[in-house]
Amino acid sequence: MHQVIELERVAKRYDSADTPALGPLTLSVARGEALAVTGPSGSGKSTLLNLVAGLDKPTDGAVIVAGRRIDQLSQHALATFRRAHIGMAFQFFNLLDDLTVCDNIQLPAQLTGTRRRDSASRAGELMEMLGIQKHARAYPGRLSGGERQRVGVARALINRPELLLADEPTGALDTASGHDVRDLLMDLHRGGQTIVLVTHDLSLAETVASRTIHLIDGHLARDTHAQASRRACSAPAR
Amino acid sequence: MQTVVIAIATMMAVASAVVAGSLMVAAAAPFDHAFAKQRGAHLTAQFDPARVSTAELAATRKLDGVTASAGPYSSTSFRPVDQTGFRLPTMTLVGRSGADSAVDRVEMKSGRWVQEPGEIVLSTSFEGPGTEIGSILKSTSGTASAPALKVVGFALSTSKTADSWATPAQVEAVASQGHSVTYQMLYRFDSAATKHQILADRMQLDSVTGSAALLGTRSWLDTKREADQGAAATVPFVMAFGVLGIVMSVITVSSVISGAVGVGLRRIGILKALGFTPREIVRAYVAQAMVPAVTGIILGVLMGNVLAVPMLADAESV
Ligand SMILES: Nc1ncnc2c1ncn2[C@@H]1O[C@H](COP(=O)(O)OP(=O)(O)OP(=O)(O)O)[C@@H](O)[C@H]1O
Ligand SMILES: [Mg+2]
Repeated sequence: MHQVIELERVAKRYDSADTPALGPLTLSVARGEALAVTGPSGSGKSTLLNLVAGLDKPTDGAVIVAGRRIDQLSQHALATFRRAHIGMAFQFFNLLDDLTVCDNIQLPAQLTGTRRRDSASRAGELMEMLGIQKHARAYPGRLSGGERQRVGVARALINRPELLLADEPTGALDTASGHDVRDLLMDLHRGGQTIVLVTHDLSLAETVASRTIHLIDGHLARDTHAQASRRACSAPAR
Repeated sequence: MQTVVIAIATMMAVASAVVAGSLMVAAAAPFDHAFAKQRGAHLTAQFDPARVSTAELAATRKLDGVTASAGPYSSTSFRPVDQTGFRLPTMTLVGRSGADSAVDRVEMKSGRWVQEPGEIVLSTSFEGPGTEIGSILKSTSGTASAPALKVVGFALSTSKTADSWATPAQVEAVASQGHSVTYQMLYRFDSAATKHQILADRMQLDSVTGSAALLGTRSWLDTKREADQGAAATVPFVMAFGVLGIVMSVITVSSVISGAVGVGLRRIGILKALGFTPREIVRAYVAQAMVPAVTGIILGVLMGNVLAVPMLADAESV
Protein backbone atom coordinates (compact mmCIF):
# COMPACT_ATOMS: atom_id res chain seq x y z
CA MET A 1 0.00 0.00 0.00
CA HIS A 2 1.28 3.45 -0.90
CA GLN A 3 2.43 5.44 2.12
CA VAL A 4 1.61 9.14 2.17
CA ILE A 5 3.65 9.80 5.30
CA GLU A 6 6.74 7.96 6.47
CA LEU A 7 8.58 9.11 9.57
CA GLU A 8 11.82 7.29 10.34
CA ARG A 9 13.16 7.77 13.87
CA VAL A 10 12.10 11.39 13.76
CA ALA A 11 12.94 13.55 16.77
CA LYS A 12 12.38 17.23 17.42
CA ARG A 13 14.14 19.06 20.20
CA TYR A 14 13.51 22.80 20.67
CA ASP A 15 16.53 24.98 21.45
CA SER A 16 15.80 25.53 25.12
CA ALA A 17 14.55 22.07 26.08
CA ASP A 18 16.72 19.22 27.36
CA THR A 19 14.31 16.45 26.35
CA PRO A 20 12.88 16.21 22.83
CA ALA A 21 9.34 17.54 22.35
CA LEU A 22 8.77 14.63 20.01
CA GLY A 23 10.22 11.21 19.37
CA PRO A 24 12.25 9.47 18.32
CA LEU A 25 9.19 8.27 16.45
CA THR A 26 8.67 5.91 13.52
CA LEU A 27 5.30 6.03 11.85
CA SER A 28 3.72 5.55 8.45
CA VAL A 29 0.33 6.64 7.23
CA ALA A 30 -1.17 4.94 4.19
CA ARG A 31 -3.12 6.59 1.43
CA GLY A 32 -6.78 6.94 2.36
CA GLU A 33 -6.15 6.59 6.07
CA ALA A 34 -7.73 9.05 8.50
CA LEU A 35 -5.30 9.22 11.39
CA ALA A 36 -6.29 10.89 14.63
CA VAL A 37 -3.49 12.08 16.91
CA THR A 38 -4.53 12.44 20.54
CA GLY A 39 -2.62 13.16 23.70
CA PRO A 40 -2.42 15.60 26.58
CA SER A 41 -1.45 19.21 26.09
CA GLY A 42 2.26 19.56 25.35
CA SER A 43 2.62 15.94 24.24
CA GLY A 44 3.95 16.96 20.81
CA LYS A 45 0.87 16.73 18.60
CA SER A 46 1.31 20.09 16.89
CA THR A 47 5.04 19.47 16.64
CA LEU A 48 4.32 16.26 14.75
CA LEU A 49 1.93 18.05 12.42
CA ASN A 50 4.40 20.86 11.74
CA LEU A 51 7.12 18.35 10.85
CA VAL A 52 4.82 16.60 8.40
CA ALA A 53 3.81 19.95 6.88
CA GLY A 54 7.45 20.96 6.53
CA LEU A 55 6.80 24.02 8.68
CA ASP A 56 9.49 22.83 11.03
CA LYS A 57 12.54 20.60 10.62
CA PRO A 58 13.33 17.54 12.72
CA THR A 59 16.49 17.45 14.79
CA ASP A 60 16.94 13.82 13.74
CA GLY A 61 15.46 11.30 11.33
CA ALA A 62 13.79 11.42 7.96
CA VAL A 63 10.40 12.86 7.01
CA ILE A 64 9.00 11.51 3.75
CA VAL A 65 5.70 12.91 2.52
CA ALA A 66 4.03 11.96 -0.76
CA GLY A 67 7.14 10.01 -1.67
CA ARG A 68 9.44 12.97 -1.19
CA ARG A 69 12.02 13.41 1.54
CA ILE A 70 11.21 16.90 2.83
CA ASP A 71 13.34 17.38 5.93
CA GLN A 72 16.30 18.62 3.94
CA LEU A 73 14.52 20.84 1.43
CA SER A 74 15.15 24.60 1.24
CA GLN A 75 12.45 26.98 2.47
CA HIS A 76 11.59 27.79 -1.11
CA ALA A 77 11.33 24.15 -2.18
CA LEU A 78 9.29 23.36 0.95
CA ALA A 79 6.84 26.14 0.14
CA THR A 80 6.25 24.91 -3.40
CA PHE A 81 5.97 21.35 -2.12
CA ARG A 82 3.50 22.35 0.58
CA ARG A 83 1.21 24.33 -1.71
CA ALA A 84 0.94 21.41 -4.10
CA HIS A 85 0.63 18.45 -1.74
CA ILE A 86 -0.62 19.58 1.66
CA GLY A 87 -3.76 21.33 2.85
CA MET A 88 -3.99 22.62 6.39
CA ALA A 89 -6.94 23.52 8.62
CA PHE A 90 -6.49 25.19 11.99
CA GLN A 91 -8.23 25.58 15.31
CA PHE A 92 -8.67 29.32 14.78
CA PHE A 93 -9.28 29.01 11.03
CA ASN A 94 -6.45 31.39 10.04
CA LEU A 95 -8.46 33.06 7.31
CA LEU A 96 -7.27 36.37 5.92
CA ASP A 97 -9.80 38.92 7.13
CA ASP A 98 -9.26 41.34 4.26
CA LEU A 99 -10.13 38.80 1.57
CA THR A 100 -13.62 37.51 0.77
CA VAL A 101 -14.52 33.89 1.45
CA CYS A 102 -14.15 33.10 -2.23
CA ASP A 103 -10.72 34.78 -2.47
CA ASN A 104 -9.52 33.07 0.69
CA ILE A 105 -10.42 29.71 -0.77
CA GLN A 106 -8.73 30.47 -4.09
CA LEU A 107 -5.49 31.83 -2.64
CA PRO A 108 -3.52 28.54 -2.67
CA ALA A 109 -4.70 27.89 -6.23
CA GLN A 110 -3.27 31.21 -7.32
CA LEU A 111 0.06 30.22 -5.81
CA THR A 112 0.23 27.10 -7.97
CA GLY A 113 -0.57 29.20 -11.04
CA THR A 114 -4.02 27.71 -11.62
CA ARG A 115 -6.02 29.81 -14.06
CA ARG A 116 -8.51 32.08 -12.34
CA ARG A 117 -11.45 30.50 -14.18
CA ASP A 118 -10.46 26.99 -13.11
CA SER A 119 -9.81 27.95 -9.49
CA ALA A 120 -13.12 29.83 -9.34
CA SER A 121 -15.07 26.83 -10.57
CA ARG A 122 -13.23 24.52 -8.16
CA ALA A 123 -13.95 26.97 -5.32
CA GLY A 124 -17.60 27.06 -6.37
CA GLU A 125 -17.72 23.26 -6.25
CA LEU A 126 -16.20 23.17 -2.77
CA MET A 127 -18.47 25.90 -1.42
CA GLU A 128 -21.45 24.01 -2.79
CA MET A 129 -20.26 20.78 -1.22
CA LEU A 130 -19.62 22.49 2.16
CA GLY A 131 -22.82 24.55 2.05
CA ILE A 132 -21.17 27.98 2.18
CA GLN A 133 -21.80 29.20 -1.38
CA LYS A 134 -24.18 31.93 -0.15
CA HIS A 135 -21.24 33.52 1.72
CA ALA A 136 -18.88 33.58 -1.25
CA ARG A 137 -18.70 37.39 -1.38
CA ALA A 138 -18.75 37.91 2.39
CA TYR A 139 -15.71 38.61 4.54
CA PRO A 140 -14.72 35.95 7.11
CA GLY A 141 -15.41 38.32 10.03
CA ARG A 142 -19.14 38.07 9.36
CA LEU A 143 -19.30 34.26 9.46
CA SER A 144 -20.00 31.93 12.36
CA GLY A 145 -17.20 29.73 13.69
CA GLY A 146 -18.54 26.62 11.96
CA GLU A 147 -18.86 28.47 8.66
CA ARG A 148 -15.36 29.83 8.98
CA GLN A 149 -13.97 26.37 9.61
CA ARG A 150 -15.69 25.13 6.46
CA VAL A 151 -14.06 27.99 4.56
CA GLY A 152 -10.74 26.92 6.10
CA VAL A 153 -11.26 23.34 4.96
CA ALA A 154 -12.33 24.46 1.49
CA ARG A 155 -9.15 26.50 1.22
CA ALA A 156 -7.13 23.48 2.36
CA LEU A 157 -8.71 21.33 -0.35
CA ILE A 158 -8.60 23.71 -3.32
CA ASN A 159 -5.42 22.21 -4.77
CA ARG A 160 -6.66 18.60 -4.23
CA PRO A 161 -3.81 17.86 -1.80
CA GLU A 162 -2.70 14.29 -1.12
CA LEU A 163 -2.78 15.09 2.56
CA LEU A 164 -5.15 17.13 4.71
CA LEU A 165 -3.74 18.19 8.07
CA ALA A 166 -6.12 19.53 10.71
CA ASP A 167 -4.99 20.83 14.11
CA GLU A 168 -7.92 20.90 16.56
CA PRO A 169 -10.40 21.84 13.81
CA THR A 170 -13.32 21.69 16.26
CA GLY A 171 -11.40 23.17 19.20
CA ALA A 172 -12.96 26.62 18.87
CA LEU A 173 -16.46 25.50 17.87
CA ASP A 174 -19.68 24.83 19.78
CA THR A 175 -21.05 21.29 19.76
CA ALA A 176 -23.37 21.75 16.76
CA SER A 177 -20.73 23.36 14.56
CA GLY A 178 -18.26 20.78 15.78
CA HIS A 179 -20.58 18.06 14.53
CA ASP A 180 -20.83 19.77 11.13
CA VAL A 181 -17.07 19.74 10.81
CA ARG A 182 -16.95 16.14 12.05
CA ASP A 183 -19.44 15.12 9.33
CA LEU A 184 -17.43 17.02 6.75
CA LEU A 185 -14.24 15.19 7.71
CA MET A 186 -16.07 11.84 7.62
CA ASP A 187 -17.32 12.60 4.12
CA LEU A 188 -13.83 13.53 2.99
CA HIS A 189 -12.41 10.33 4.44
CA ARG A 190 -15.10 8.31 2.72
CA GLY A 191 -14.14 10.04 -0.52
CA GLY A 192 -10.58 8.71 -0.12
CA GLN A 193 -8.89 11.80 1.34
CA THR A 194 -5.87 11.07 3.52
CA ILE A 195 -6.29 12.99 6.75
CA VAL A 196 -4.20 13.62 9.85
CA LEU A 197 -6.38 15.06 12.58
CA VAL A 198 -4.99 16.38 15.85
CA THR A 199 -7.64 16.53 18.54
CA HIS A 200 -8.35 16.40 22.23
CA ASP A 201 -11.83 15.14 21.49
CA LEU A 202 -11.79 11.35 21.75
CA SER A 203 -15.29 10.97 20.34
CA LEU A 204 -14.31 13.02 17.29
CA ALA A 205 -11.24 10.81 16.89
CA GLU A 206 -13.37 7.67 17.18
CA THR A 207 -16.01 8.76 14.66
CA VAL A 208 -13.75 10.23 12.01
CA ALA A 209 -10.54 8.25 12.21
CA SER A 210 -9.71 4.85 10.83
CA ARG A 211 -6.74 4.82 13.18
CA THR A 212 -5.76 6.70 16.31
CA ILE A 213 -2.36 7.26 17.85
CA HIS A 214 -1.93 8.56 21.36
CA LEU A 215 1.16 10.59 22.27
CA ILE A 216 2.55 11.10 25.75
CA ASP A 217 5.63 13.26 26.24
CA GLY A 218 6.45 12.98 22.56
CA HIS A 219 6.32 9.20 22.50
CA LEU A 220 3.85 6.86 20.88
CA ALA A 221 1.84 5.49 23.81
CA ARG A 222 -0.86 3.70 21.81
CA ASP A 223 -1.56 2.97 18.15
CA THR A 224 -4.93 1.36 17.33
CA HIS A 225 -3.53 0.31 13.97
CA ALA A 226 -0.71 -1.63 15.60
CA GLN A 227 -3.12 -3.16 18.11
CA ALA A 228 -5.49 -4.15 15.33
CA SER A 229 -2.78 -5.82 13.32
CA ARG A 230 -1.35 -7.51 16.37
CA ARG A 231 -4.85 -8.81 17.12
CA ALA A 232 -5.19 -9.85 13.51
CA CYS A 233 -1.88 -11.71 13.62
CA SER A 234 -2.40 -13.34 16.96
CA ALA A 235 -6.04 -14.32 16.42
CA PRO A 236 -5.44 -17.52 14.38
CA ALA A 237 -2.94 -18.77 16.97
CA ARG A 238 -5.57 -18.86 19.67
CA MET B 1 -7.86 50.87 7.15
CA GLN B 2 -4.98 49.59 9.22
CA THR B 3 -2.69 50.82 6.48
CA VAL B 4 -3.91 54.39 6.96
CA VAL B 5 -3.62 54.16 10.74
CA ILE B 6 -0.03 52.97 10.51
CA ALA B 7 0.85 55.73 8.07
CA ILE B 8 -0.74 58.51 10.13
CA ALA B 9 0.56 57.31 13.48
CA THR B 10 4.14 57.00 12.26
CA MET B 11 3.85 60.34 10.50
CA MET B 12 2.71 62.20 13.61
CA ALA B 13 5.24 60.50 15.84
CA VAL B 14 8.15 61.08 13.50
CA ALA B 15 7.10 64.69 12.98
CA SER B 16 7.02 65.41 16.69
CA ALA B 17 10.34 63.63 17.17
CA VAL B 18 11.89 65.80 14.47
CA VAL B 19 10.48 68.97 16.02
CA ALA B 20 11.55 67.95 19.51
CA GLY B 21 14.95 66.87 18.26
CA SER B 22 15.70 70.05 16.37
CA LEU B 23 14.36 72.13 19.24
CA MET B 24 16.81 70.35 21.52
CA VAL B 25 19.68 70.84 19.14
CA ALA B 26 18.88 74.51 18.84
CA ALA B 27 18.32 74.92 22.56
CA ALA B 28 21.46 73.04 23.46
CA ALA B 29 23.55 75.46 21.43
CA PRO B 30 21.44 78.41 20.32
CA PHE B 31 24.50 80.55 19.87
CA ASP B 32 26.49 77.98 17.92
CA HIS B 33 23.54 77.30 15.68
CA ALA B 34 22.95 80.97 14.85
CA PHE B 35 26.67 81.68 14.65
CA ALA B 36 27.21 78.95 12.09
CA LYS B 37 24.19 80.10 10.10
CA GLN B 38 25.39 83.70 9.98
CA ARG B 39 29.01 82.73 9.37
CA GLY B 40 29.83 84.78 12.42
CA ALA B 41 33.16 86.52 12.94
CA HIS B 42 35.67 84.59 15.03
CA LEU B 43 37.56 87.82 15.55
CA THR B 44 36.33 91.40 15.19
CA ALA B 45 39.31 93.76 14.91
CA GLN B 46 39.47 97.55 15.08
CA PHE B 47 42.33 99.23 13.24
CA ASP B 48 43.56 102.82 13.44
CA PRO B 49 43.13 104.31 9.93
CA ALA B 50 46.10 106.58 10.54
CA ARG B 51 48.46 103.71 11.21
CA VAL B 52 47.38 101.08 8.74
CA SER B 53 47.35 101.11 4.98
CA THR B 54 44.73 99.58 2.72
CA ALA B 55 47.46 97.29 1.40
CA GLU B 56 48.24 96.04 4.90
CA LEU B 57 44.57 95.39 5.59
CA ALA B 58 44.34 93.52 2.33
CA ALA B 59 47.38 91.47 3.37
CA THR B 60 45.69 90.39 6.61
CA ARG B 61 42.93 88.81 4.55
CA LYS B 62 45.45 86.51 2.87
CA LEU B 63 47.08 85.29 6.08
CA ASP B 64 47.43 81.55 6.67
CA GLY B 65 44.44 80.23 8.51
CA VAL B 66 42.08 83.00 7.47
CA THR B 67 39.17 81.24 5.77
CA ALA B 68 36.99 84.30 5.20
CA SER B 69 37.10 88.00 5.93
CA ALA B 70 35.09 91.17 5.51
CA GLY B 71 35.81 94.88 5.76
CA PRO B 72 37.31 97.32 6.20
CA TYR B 73 34.13 98.93 7.42
CA SER B 74 34.42 102.40 8.88
CA SER B 75 33.11 102.39 12.39
CA THR B 76 32.57 104.87 15.16
CA SER B 77 30.66 105.18 18.38
CA PHE B 78 27.99 107.70 19.26
CA ARG B 79 25.32 108.32 21.80
CA PRO B 80 21.93 109.10 20.30
CA VAL B 81 18.79 110.59 21.86
CA ASP B 82 15.34 109.60 20.67
CA GLN B 83 12.45 111.94 19.86
CA THR B 84 11.37 112.12 23.50
CA GLY B 85 14.84 113.23 24.50
CA PHE B 86 15.71 109.90 26.07
CA ARG B 87 19.43 109.23 25.90
CA LEU B 88 20.27 105.79 24.61
CA PRO B 89 23.52 104.09 25.65
CA THR B 90 26.64 104.64 23.59
CA MET B 91 26.47 102.58 20.42
CA THR B 92 28.97 101.39 17.91
CA LEU B 93 27.94 102.42 14.42
CA VAL B 94 29.35 100.53 11.46
CA GLY B 95 29.12 101.57 7.83
CA ARG B 96 27.97 98.69 5.68
CA SER B 97 26.24 98.99 2.37
CA GLY B 98 24.46 95.63 2.80
CA ALA B 99 23.51 93.11 5.46
CA ASP B 100 25.03 90.20 3.59
CA SER B 101 28.75 89.61 3.73
CA ALA B 102 31.33 86.85 3.58
CA VAL B 103 31.55 87.04 7.37
CA ASP B 104 28.76 88.09 9.73
CA ARG B 105 25.67 87.84 7.56
CA VAL B 106 23.52 90.22 9.55
CA GLU B 107 19.95 89.01 9.63
CA MET B 108 17.10 91.48 9.14
CA LYS B 109 14.38 90.91 11.71
CA SER B 110 12.15 93.75 10.54
CA GLY B 111 12.26 96.65 8.14
CA ARG B 112 15.06 96.86 5.59
CA TRP B 113 18.77 97.67 5.30
CA VAL B 114 19.98 101.29 5.01
CA GLN B 115 19.92 102.68 1.49
CA GLU B 116 21.02 106.29 1.89
CA PRO B 117 22.52 108.64 4.45
CA GLY B 118 20.05 109.65 7.12
CA GLU B 119 18.99 106.06 7.75
CA ILE B 120 20.06 103.68 10.48
CA VAL B 121 19.49 100.02 11.28
CA LEU B 122 19.59 99.08 14.96
CA SER B 123 20.42 95.84 16.65
CA THR B 124 17.24 94.09 17.81
CA SER B 125 18.31 94.54 21.42
CA PHE B 126 17.42 98.26 21.10
CA GLU B 127 13.92 97.65 19.85
CA GLY B 128 11.30 99.08 22.19
CA PRO B 129 8.91 101.93 22.77
CA GLY B 130 10.43 105.16 21.43
CA THR B 131 12.73 103.28 19.08
CA GLU B 132 10.66 101.71 16.36
CA ILE B 133 10.82 101.72 12.62
CA GLY B 134 10.32 105.35 11.59
CA SER B 135 11.72 106.80 14.84
CA ILE B 136 14.26 109.58 14.51
CA LEU B 137 17.51 109.40 16.48
CA LYS B 138 19.89 112.30 16.90
CA SER B 139 23.53 112.21 17.69
CA THR B 140 24.10 114.05 20.98
CA SER B 141 27.36 115.70 20.19
CA GLY B 142 25.43 118.87 20.69
CA THR B 143 25.62 120.96 17.60
CA ALA B 144 22.59 121.96 15.63
CA SER B 145 23.94 120.22 12.56
CA ALA B 146 23.94 116.86 14.35
CA PRO B 147 22.60 114.46 11.75
CA ALA B 148 19.13 113.04 12.29
CA LEU B 149 18.93 109.30 11.65
CA LYS B 150 15.70 107.56 10.77
CA VAL B 151 15.36 103.96 11.98
CA VAL B 152 14.56 101.81 8.93
CA GLY B 153 15.08 98.33 10.33
CA PHE B 154 16.17 96.02 13.12
CA ALA B 155 18.80 93.40 12.56
CA LEU B 156 20.59 90.67 14.46
CA SER B 157 24.32 90.03 14.35
CA THR B 158 25.12 86.92 16.34
CA SER B 159 28.77 87.93 16.59
CA LYS B 160 27.62 91.35 17.92
CA THR B 161 29.92 93.24 15.58
CA ALA B 162 27.91 96.45 15.99
CA ASP B 163 24.96 98.04 17.77
CA SER B 164 23.84 99.89 14.66
CA TRP B 165 24.60 100.22 10.99
CA ALA B 166 24.44 103.07 8.50
CA THR B 167 25.84 103.81 5.07
CA PRO B 168 29.64 104.36 5.06
CA ALA B 169 29.13 108.05 4.18
CA GLN B 170 26.80 108.47 7.15
CA VAL B 171 29.39 106.98 9.50
CA GLU B 172 31.91 109.56 8.34
CA ALA B 173 29.34 112.32 8.91
CA VAL B 174 28.60 111.14 12.47
CA ALA B 175 32.29 110.85 13.20
CA SER B 176 32.95 114.33 11.96
CA GLN B 177 30.95 115.49 14.99
CA GLY B 178 33.98 114.76 17.11
CA HIS B 179 34.13 110.97 17.27
CA SER B 180 37.04 109.02 15.92
CA VAL B 181 36.69 106.61 13.02
CA THR B 182 38.25 103.18 13.10
CA TYR B 183 38.33 100.42 10.55
CA GLN B 184 36.47 97.24 11.43
CA MET B 185 37.71 93.97 9.96
CA LEU B 186 35.91 90.64 10.43
CA TYR B 187 37.74 87.33 10.18
CA ARG B 188 36.96 83.65 10.24
CA PHE B 189 39.84 81.24 10.91
CA ASP B 190 40.26 77.55 10.34
CA SER B 191 41.30 77.12 13.97
CA ALA B 192 39.44 79.29 16.43
CA ALA B 193 38.07 76.85 18.95
CA THR B 194 40.16 77.92 21.96
CA LYS B 195 41.36 81.12 23.54
CA HIS B 196 44.86 80.08 22.66
CA GLN B 197 44.14 79.67 18.97
CA ILE B 198 42.36 83.03 18.85
CA LEU B 199 45.38 84.64 20.49
CA ALA B 200 47.67 83.12 17.88
CA ASP B 201 45.39 84.40 15.14
CA ARG B 202 45.52 87.86 16.64
CA MET B 203 49.31 87.80 16.80
CA GLN B 204 49.37 87.13 13.09
CA LEU B 205 47.35 90.28 12.45
CA ASP B 206 49.75 92.21 14.68
CA SER B 207 52.70 91.00 12.68
CA VAL B 208 51.25 92.42 9.46
CA THR B 209 49.95 95.76 10.67
CA GLY B 210 52.13 96.45 13.70
CA SER B 211 50.65 96.31 17.17
CA ALA B 212 50.04 100.05 17.35
CA ALA B 213 47.63 99.89 14.42
CA LEU B 214 45.48 97.16 16.01
CA LEU B 215 43.36 99.06 18.48
CA GLY B 216 41.36 96.17 19.82
CA THR B 217 39.78 92.84 19.09
CA ARG B 218 36.76 90.93 20.23
CA SER B 219 36.82 87.14 20.26
CA TRP B 220 33.69 85.16 19.38
CA LEU B 221 34.42 83.02 22.46
CA ASP B 222 33.58 85.98 24.71
CA THR B 223 30.39 86.71 22.79
CA LYS B 224 29.47 83.04 23.02
CA ARG B 225 30.04 82.93 26.76
CA GLU B 226 27.78 85.92 27.31
CA ALA B 227 25.09 84.50 25.03
CA ASP B 228 25.20 81.07 26.66
CA GLN B 229 24.86 82.59 30.12
CA GLY B 230 21.72 84.33 28.97
CA ALA B 231 20.25 81.19 27.51
CA ALA B 232 21.29 78.87 30.33
CA ALA B 233 18.12 79.33 32.38
CA THR B 234 15.74 78.11 29.68
CA VAL B 235 17.84 75.21 28.46
CA PRO B 236 16.77 72.61 31.06
CA PHE B 237 13.09 73.24 30.35
CA VAL B 238 13.41 73.00 26.60
CA MET B 239 15.55 69.89 27.06
CA ALA B 240 12.97 68.28 29.32
CA PHE B 241 10.21 68.92 26.80
CA GLY B 242 12.39 67.74 23.95
CA VAL B 243 13.23 64.49 25.72
CA LEU B 244 9.58 63.99 26.56
CA GLY B 245 8.53 64.55 22.97
CA ILE B 246 11.09 62.11 21.66
CA VAL B 247 10.33 59.45 24.26
CA MET B 248 6.62 59.70 23.53
CA SER B 249 7.06 59.42 19.82
CA VAL B 250 9.43 56.47 20.21
CA ILE B 251 6.77 54.75 22.30
CA THR B 252 4.08 55.54 19.73
CA VAL B 253 6.11 54.35 16.79
CA SER B 254 7.28 51.20 18.50
CA SER B 255 3.81 50.23 19.66
CA VAL B 256 2.33 50.88 16.24
CA ILE B 257 5.13 48.95 14.57
CA SER B 258 4.99 46.07 17.04
CA GLY B 259 1.23 45.95 16.61
CA ALA B 260 1.73 45.80 12.89
CA VAL B 261 4.43 43.17 13.31
CA GLY B 262 2.17 41.17 15.64
CA VAL B 263 -0.61 41.19 13.07
CA GLY B 264 2.03 40.65 10.42
CA LEU B 265 3.54 37.64 12.20
CA ARG B 266 0.15 35.94 12.39
CA ARG B 267 -0.31 36.66 8.72
CA ILE B 268 3.16 35.39 7.90
CA GLY B 269 2.35 32.15 9.70
CA ILE B 270 -0.85 31.75 7.69
CA LEU B 271 0.82 32.52 4.39
CA LYS B 272 3.64 30.12 5.18
CA ALA B 273 1.20 27.32 5.91
CA LEU B 274 -0.57 28.01 2.61
CA GLY B 275 2.70 27.51 0.76
CA PHE B 276 3.94 31.06 0.21
CA THR B 277 7.71 31.07 -0.34
CA PRO B 278 9.74 33.40 1.88
CA ARG B 279 10.11 35.79 -1.04
CA GLU B 280 6.38 35.86 -1.70
CA ILE B 281 5.75 36.52 2.00
CA VAL B 282 8.16 39.44 2.02
CA ARG B 283 6.41 40.87 -0.99
CA ALA B 284 2.99 40.51 0.62
CA TYR B 285 4.26 41.90 3.91
CA VAL B 286 5.91 44.92 2.36
CA ALA B 287 2.62 45.91 0.81
CA GLN B 288 0.82 45.35 4.09
CA ALA B 289 2.92 47.23 6.64
CA MET B 290 6.14 48.62 5.29
CA VAL B 291 4.71 50.86 2.61
CA PRO B 292 2.47 52.81 5.02
CA ALA B 293 5.14 52.89 7.72
CA VAL B 294 7.80 54.23 5.37
CA THR B 295 5.33 56.69 3.84
CA GLY B 296 4.52 57.87 7.36
CA ILE B 297 8.18 58.28 8.25
CA ILE B 298 8.92 60.30 5.12
CA LEU B 299 5.86 62.54 5.58
CA GLY B 300 6.72 62.89 9.27
CA VAL B 301 10.25 64.06 8.57
CA LEU B 302 8.97 66.58 6.04
CA MET B 303 6.24 67.81 8.36
CA GLY B 304 8.59 67.95 11.32
CA ASN B 305 11.02 70.10 9.39
CA VAL B 306 8.28 72.39 8.15
CA LEU B 307 7.07 72.85 11.73
CA ALA B 308 10.53 73.15 13.20
CA VAL B 309 11.73 75.96 10.96
CA PRO B 310 9.46 78.76 12.26
CA MET B 311 9.82 77.52 15.83
CA LEU B 312 13.58 77.59 15.58
CA ALA B 313 13.59 81.02 13.99
CA ASP B 314 11.97 82.26 17.18
CA ALA B 315 14.33 80.31 19.38
CA GLU B 316 17.40 81.76 17.71
CA SER B 317 16.55 85.40 18.21
CA VAL B 318 16.29 84.83 21.97
N1 LIG C 1 8.43 26.88 19.05
C1 LIG C 1 8.68 26.21 20.18
N2 LIG C 1 9.78 26.51 20.89
C2 LIG C 1 10.07 25.85 22.03
N3 LIG C 1 9.30 24.88 22.54
C3 LIG C 1 8.18 24.53 21.87
C4 LIG C 1 7.82 25.19 20.67
N4 LIG C 1 6.65 24.64 20.24
C5 LIG C 1 6.33 23.69 21.13
N5 LIG C 1 7.23 23.61 22.12
C6 LIG C 1 7.22 22.67 23.24
O1 LIG C 1 7.16 21.38 22.73
C7 LIG C 1 6.28 20.59 23.47
C8 LIG C 1 5.19 20.03 22.57
O2 LIG C 1 4.41 21.10 22.08
P1 LIG C 1 3.21 20.91 21.07
O3 LIG C 1 2.75 22.27 20.67
O4 LIG C 1 3.62 19.99 20.01
O5 LIG C 1 2.14 20.25 22.01
P2 LIG C 1 0.62 19.87 21.69
O6 LIG C 1 0.53 18.44 21.93
O7 LIG C 1 0.25 20.39 20.37
O8 LIG C 1 -0.13 20.66 22.83
P3 LIG C 1 -1.59 21.34 22.77
O9 LIG C 1 -2.55 20.24 22.93
O10 LIG C 1 -1.57 22.24 23.98
O11 LIG C 1 -1.68 22.08 21.48
C9 LIG C 1 5.72 21.46 24.57
O12 LIG C 1 6.47 21.21 25.73
C10 LIG C 1 5.97 22.85 24.07
O13 LIG C 1 6.21 23.71 25.16
MG1 LIG D 1 -1.12 21.92 19.66
